[in-house]
Amino acid sequence: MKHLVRAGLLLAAILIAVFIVPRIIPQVVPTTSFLADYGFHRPNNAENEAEWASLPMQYAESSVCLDCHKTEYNLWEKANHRTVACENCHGPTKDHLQTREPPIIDTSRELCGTCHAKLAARPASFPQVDMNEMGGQAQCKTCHNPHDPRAGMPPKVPHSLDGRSDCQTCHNPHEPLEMIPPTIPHTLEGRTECLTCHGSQGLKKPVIPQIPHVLEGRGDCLVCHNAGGIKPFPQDHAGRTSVTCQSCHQSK
Amino acid sequence: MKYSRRDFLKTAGGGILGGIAVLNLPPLLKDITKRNRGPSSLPTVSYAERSLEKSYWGFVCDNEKCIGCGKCVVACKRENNVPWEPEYNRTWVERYVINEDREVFIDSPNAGRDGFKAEPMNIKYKNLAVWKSFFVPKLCNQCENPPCVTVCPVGATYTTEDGVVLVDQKHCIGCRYCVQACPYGARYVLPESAETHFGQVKVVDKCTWCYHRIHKGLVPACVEVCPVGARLFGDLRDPKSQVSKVLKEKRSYVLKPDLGTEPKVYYIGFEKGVQ
Amino acid sequence: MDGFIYPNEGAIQWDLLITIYPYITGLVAGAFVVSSLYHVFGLKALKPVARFSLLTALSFLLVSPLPLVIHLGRPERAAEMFLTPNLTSAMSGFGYIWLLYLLIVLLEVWLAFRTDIVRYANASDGIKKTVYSLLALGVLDITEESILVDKRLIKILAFIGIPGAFLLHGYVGFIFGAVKANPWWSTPLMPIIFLTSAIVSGIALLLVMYVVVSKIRKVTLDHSCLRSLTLWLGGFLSLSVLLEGLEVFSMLYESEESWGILSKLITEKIPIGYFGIQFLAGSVLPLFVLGVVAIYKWPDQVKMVLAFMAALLVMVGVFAMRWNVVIGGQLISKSLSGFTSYTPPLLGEAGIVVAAVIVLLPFLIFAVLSHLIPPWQEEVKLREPKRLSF
Repeated sequence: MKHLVRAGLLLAAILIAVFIVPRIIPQVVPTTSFLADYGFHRPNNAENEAEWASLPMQYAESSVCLDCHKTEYNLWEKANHRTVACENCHGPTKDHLQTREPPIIDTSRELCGTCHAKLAARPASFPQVDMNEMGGQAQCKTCHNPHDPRAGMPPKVPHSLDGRSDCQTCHNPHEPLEMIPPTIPHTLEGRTECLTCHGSQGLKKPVIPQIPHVLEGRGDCLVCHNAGGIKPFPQDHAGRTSVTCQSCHQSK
Repeated sequence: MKYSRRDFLKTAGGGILGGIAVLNLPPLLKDITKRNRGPSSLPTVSYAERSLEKSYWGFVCDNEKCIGCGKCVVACKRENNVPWEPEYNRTWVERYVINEDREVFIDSPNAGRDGFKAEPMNIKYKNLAVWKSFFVPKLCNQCENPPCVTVCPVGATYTTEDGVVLVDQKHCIGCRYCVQACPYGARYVLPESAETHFGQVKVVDKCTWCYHRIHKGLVPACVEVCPVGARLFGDLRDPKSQVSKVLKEKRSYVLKPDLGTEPKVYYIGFEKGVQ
Repeated sequence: MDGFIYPNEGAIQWDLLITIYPYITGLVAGAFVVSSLYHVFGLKALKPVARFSLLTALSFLLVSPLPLVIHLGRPERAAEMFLTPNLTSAMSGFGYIWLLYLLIVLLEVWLAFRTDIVRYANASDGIKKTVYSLLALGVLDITEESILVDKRLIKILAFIGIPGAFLLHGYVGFIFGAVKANPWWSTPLMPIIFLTSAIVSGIALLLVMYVVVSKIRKVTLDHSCLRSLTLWLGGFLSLSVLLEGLEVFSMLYESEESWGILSKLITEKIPIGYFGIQFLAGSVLPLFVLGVVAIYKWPDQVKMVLAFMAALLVMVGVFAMRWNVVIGGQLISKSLSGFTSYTPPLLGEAGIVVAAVIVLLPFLIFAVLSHLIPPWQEEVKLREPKRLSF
């Protein structure tokens, strides 16, 4: 069967070329050749792993900023924004380190609002405000130090209260903050007695107790601090809701 | 003894088949019986002895803390040169809105990259009687039993010793079988306009848990910038790591456990309807 | 996009090109099964189409890798499937299965046509003689013994070719059926459903081609062959409909989490393609027509026309099935909460024009092959081989 023999030889040649030769090549070529890569299931992933592991970084860590920016860092480290990485607002470290130019710092309300705008899906215990009301159109940093946002909050009344019993005589919630007298940067809901928070210089200083316990697992203040609860709030707090508690009472 | 041509052909044929079997079968068997690893399958090392090569990484997403700010998405795109367009994401954030009838509505505007301010619920879900709503961060789960690795026809995607699933983009042929096989939608194809570090396009890319960062003792970029600690990362075999502590204290769950992929991203704050 | 899809799921990944690939390999499997029905099981009625179906299978087999290679993101790396296959992947089997099956079909075609090739080699000269001599591997004589040996080998090849054909198309079904992430695809029935619809499409293709080619060559059809094809088509079609219906009914009955989105898929997103084309026009109606053709004693011409139209409907229906599986499965989001959408572009790499060219290419190859080595059985004994002329 001459024809079968020839067909058989051709078949054998194809089978050898496809099944045997590629398996032998990696054994016989030097490892530097691209052919050495070929065998079953790519025997050498270590090289690719090393490539992934040695990619350049853009972001560093907040502790890197301490080297040059001690003042801001020390302030930030103990304040409420210590969980917010420096690079969150100031951009990746790499851009800054390469050029040493100060990074463009976004001080707009939009940046603060990315986290602090009131959204229903955000956990209730997270500090959030209605961006249409709080602060009018002014930049949030007019009152809040971004590295220590609760410092000096709430702001003291900067004038004596002689002859000024009704705050709303001068302060109009609808006028911009830059004008004098400055507008009230928050709603008046639950806030009928201005002096409860705002002591004036020379007059009674406000005594706002700090929250002496952690807030974890305690999303709704009123569970314990309601009128008939374990530690009821004082009389003058009547009508206030859980949402406003943390606008005056700082946690530890 | 007469050695005819027929005998020669028989011997030669047998030799070829034998050669094929010997050269191809053992690697085939080795391939099929690859072992699966888990945190207890390797001996625990103390913190002092811990080296990055012997780690077993884990990730925690806390649905109770996430505020949907989207900083993680931005940081990831910047850190890893992921295309800026919202169709290509290594990580993203979803918002879940559940109404009084317990119907679940999910959205992720621009994959959460710009936060969710632009679509406040009182406008988007105006006619909905909302019962509850929350955010869920998403990323590659780096499954311990990854279906994507199983189905890659050329073995371009693989699992490292420390449990991260990577793609060798120089060998990926762009067949997208892994994209089909991933139950979590974590993989995507780099468009022609992409400019990644490896310079490859039309191949598959995915979250690598910032492999280049974790091998220097840092955390992934998304974990670094999360302002509320909704993302945690660490060595599951180190009892002092953040992830180990949280997972020991709280109840956690994983996405689609019924598929048997054994994800290594653990979620706190389970809610029925989270996909 | 309606509902919610994962942000990475905007565009579907396996498009029109991947839809035509199982269609083409299905035709291969079906044509080969018909050929084997004669060569292995000795169904004499199918003799007129036995070699014809072999050439058809070969033509479609040669074209089948084309849509796959074009659709790859990096087609220049396609050889990696041969060189570094990851054998846990069903797709990695493609290279080897296709190659081995091609060798089987080539060998069987060669053996079945060898006597003719040698005859043509001896009867021609110049370039034609060289071509035919090469095809005959230089062996230009026929002995009675060699013909007998050839016949036995053909039988063996046709026998092992059946599981080969099943594997060639079944592995495609497994590629889809083994994807647990996609509830529309994930079922152990998928390889079998693909296979039965493949055989159905192959028989239908042969029926259509046989009628058309006989008309072009102006010869009379062998109506008992046509009847045999009709019966086998009807038989496999019943099985195919049963399995496809069982799969979706089972999902409806078990009503798992994914049933919500899947029922929306078939009732809102693809109802026309699914119920209208795949089931009604592509399966139920042809079954009815084929049944009527089998039962009633109508003139042969009428039966031929009816069978031809039924076969055409079946071919469209099987394509719709491929579309509904491949595209339909990707329309649903893995979040089980929404859909994306897909309209194939007309032009471009993955466009309708390219797909049409790929599907028509095998017919071109068949025309060339049948011009070179005509498969028509009936003339071999009667008169000089009648060449196919256009």
